[in-house]
Amino acid sequence: MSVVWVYNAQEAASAVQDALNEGSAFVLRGRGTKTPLGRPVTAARTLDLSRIAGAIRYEPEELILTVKAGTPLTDIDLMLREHRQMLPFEPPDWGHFFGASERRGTIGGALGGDLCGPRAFKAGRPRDALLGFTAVNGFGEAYKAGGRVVKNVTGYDLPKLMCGAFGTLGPLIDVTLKVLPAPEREDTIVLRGMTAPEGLRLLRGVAGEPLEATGLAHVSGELAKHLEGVLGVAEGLTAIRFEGAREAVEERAHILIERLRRAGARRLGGDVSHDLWKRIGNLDLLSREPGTVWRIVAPPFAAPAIASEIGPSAAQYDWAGGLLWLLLDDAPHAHANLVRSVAARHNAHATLFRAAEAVRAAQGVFQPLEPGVERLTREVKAAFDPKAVFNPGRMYEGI
Amino acid sequence: MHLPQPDPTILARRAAIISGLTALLPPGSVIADDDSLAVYDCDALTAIRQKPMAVVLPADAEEIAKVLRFCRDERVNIVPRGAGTSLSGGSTPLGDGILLVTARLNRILEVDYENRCAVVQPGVTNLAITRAVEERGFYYAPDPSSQLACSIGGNVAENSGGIHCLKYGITTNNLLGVELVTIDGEIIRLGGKGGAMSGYDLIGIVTGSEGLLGMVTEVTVRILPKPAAVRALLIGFPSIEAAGAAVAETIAQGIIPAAMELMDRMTVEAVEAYCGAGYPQDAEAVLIAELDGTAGEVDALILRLEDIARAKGATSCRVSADEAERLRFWSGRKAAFPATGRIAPDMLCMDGTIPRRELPAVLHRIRELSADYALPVANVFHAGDGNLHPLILYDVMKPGDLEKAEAFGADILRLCVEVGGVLTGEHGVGVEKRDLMPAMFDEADLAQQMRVKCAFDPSHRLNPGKVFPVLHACAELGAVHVHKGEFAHPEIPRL
Repeated sequence: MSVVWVYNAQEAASAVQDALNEGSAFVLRGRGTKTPLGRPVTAARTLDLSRIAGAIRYEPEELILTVKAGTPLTDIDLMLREHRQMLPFEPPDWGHFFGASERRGTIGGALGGDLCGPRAFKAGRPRDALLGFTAVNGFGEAYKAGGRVVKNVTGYDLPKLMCGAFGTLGPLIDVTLKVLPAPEREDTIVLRGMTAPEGLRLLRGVAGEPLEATGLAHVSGELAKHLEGVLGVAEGLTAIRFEGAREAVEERAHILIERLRRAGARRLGGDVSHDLWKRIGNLDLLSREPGTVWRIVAPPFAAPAIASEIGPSAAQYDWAGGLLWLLLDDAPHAHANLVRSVAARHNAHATLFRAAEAVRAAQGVFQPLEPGVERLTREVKAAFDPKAVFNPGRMYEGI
Repeated sequence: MHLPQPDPTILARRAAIISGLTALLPPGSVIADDDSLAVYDCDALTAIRQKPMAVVLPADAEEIAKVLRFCRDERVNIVPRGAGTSLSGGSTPLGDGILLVTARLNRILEVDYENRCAVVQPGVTNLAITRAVEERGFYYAPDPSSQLACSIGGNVAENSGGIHCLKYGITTNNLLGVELVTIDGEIIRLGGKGGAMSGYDLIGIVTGSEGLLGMVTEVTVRILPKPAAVRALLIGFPSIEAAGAAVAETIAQGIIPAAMELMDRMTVEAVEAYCGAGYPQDAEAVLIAELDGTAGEVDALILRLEDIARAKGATSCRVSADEAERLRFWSGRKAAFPATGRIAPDMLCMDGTIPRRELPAVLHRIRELSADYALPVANVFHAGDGNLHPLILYDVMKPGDLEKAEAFGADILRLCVEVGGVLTGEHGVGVEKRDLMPAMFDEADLAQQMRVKCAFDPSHRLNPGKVFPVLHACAELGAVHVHKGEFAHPEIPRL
């Protein structure tokens, strides 16, 4: 497969023109860390976007960062850390989970997949942080959308469409993001030995209180055993994170630990807490277990029922139950019928997150769309990429 | 500002269209007599008035689906309307179109505390959602100042903001799902109580689409637990620069207050005369900063903010001792529009967003323009998110005053774009800013937005004349121009 490297919007646009002339398609690639995510794509060429990298404008006092979309997340972290700021959506590092050689991908990849971590239920997903962009469409034109300020309703909110489109609407070139001050402090309260329904009930309760928790996760014993040190026992782990100003974290953690002391609650300080949430967000525990992994976004209350109806061998729950990671045995059918029907029944959306390429090709990856939504989705795809130049079939057949 | 010329071929069929619509719906759903239509001749952009051809008041999504299908087949334009509080003319009627009003879809369908959300019909007011959940200690975060009257359906269409945006986001960040009726009369559900959806983020694109993509018939919003403590500071500064520096320093220290509102001297004088909110009269700028959270946290952050204010030269700083005092601080800000409205017979409320640091320069330029146009202007500013509301005062009875005010407003918005900002922060483009769109977007940018419009409504029946200065035919926008055999950049290495 031939590779076309492009360095800017004009080159990307002319590469698209070439593809239109030839009637060929591109696989879009940043650093290739998310290649195993989505349906396998067959295309004659790869459009390599990793050279479109670097900062364009960072305005810490405005909480705004503009970078080229191929900028590695590690570079962005360094830049933001210098001003004690962060990306709100806590981009995960799934390099290890997917067995990629490059550990961390690009910001464009994180936006394209709408990939986010434990804080996202509170601070928003990438779609909530992307304020504006320039991109190249399937007509071979560069264009821009959105703006460089937090509050903007001028024209359609195209940034929302680009997040989670997995590149099928075209490559992002420059992106403007909302950033946030990094917390001065973080503390986590952990409890051991709860079942998933018990842990999730506790987490939903905390989510409904004005404590502003930024992490609400429960990990089943089969996964929690992989945690090193005192945390690593084979029983359920329920974790609640607080982040923010020193006084705020101190007060909220105090309120909660007083209430849960009898249940055996313990408090984890900064580094231990930080490490635990990195492992949760990066799927570090799941990466040590072989098998098929499904990611399900659900109404939080439905999480215990969804898990019990599917019956996974291990589970990690995040966002107080709004996000489930279920581990199942490998099988050619990937348990797709079961998982998707349970998800549909609970108004949830299931993604076949880790499975062999052949299985993903045969079973599809994303929750099937209702007919009306599918029709609009195809129309939107055609509005950006009528000749299917970008990542054909990455999301659905023909999309 | 002008509306498109009514299409005579539609007007000629008026009687048939009205009887067709009347036959589709239960009695009392269609208003077509001239006197009653007069009530609906404008939204909150009162400078533009036009009676719609008819007003249609459906009771549910199925009726809306029937109406949309009928309008598509009979080639009738549709203007969706919630409570009609748009300041940009988003629901300004069209002479050759029906006004499709969601007033009868006004029920709160479900409050689900376990999933922390509420499912409501589009005609429910913004504040009614909070009222429905506050007894259990919850609220709906986006709070546009018209929240008592404006509908949640309108909030979705306009992606409405409010004063707490920096910390809690705008409508799009607080929506979990919508039910949408397409121009083909198809009822589809996007998202739901879990928030996410499969495929493209169609909730995201529908939100803020100003009624051009479909009719929203049900909305699922996230509700949040009410903070345990809320307190506000009222700070006077000797200059706008000093106030701006205090805001920047607050954010630099990693503090995100729930709200930060800045008022210039003219606004402060107007509100003091109007309601005596107790604002410092010696200040050039007054800042209200609100902090929320747990009690101890709020106390601690207030101390930090007081330090910052002092360091940046504040001439006065008061902290609300109780809820009554906090509300008194806000009473002036909330009265800013009526208060300035008392100084002059008419007022044009502008709505640009700028990078915060540009505030002193932009206000300086606005003062110069104010002198040039000989029209006074008062400024209120959502300092946290950079959203600037200059209130241009004029007298519609004075010949040429309205045109002058509009030209002044357009100059301000172009200035916002020049300094890196945008044409509208929360009011929407509508009719008001439609012709300014090219100041921010070039042809390729607008073409891509219009292609999205075409994906949803290829015959341009939904709210034509809004948002886009020129709406191109979809076939033209969708054409792929293939340059056969010629490579645009032969110098680029290819492998």
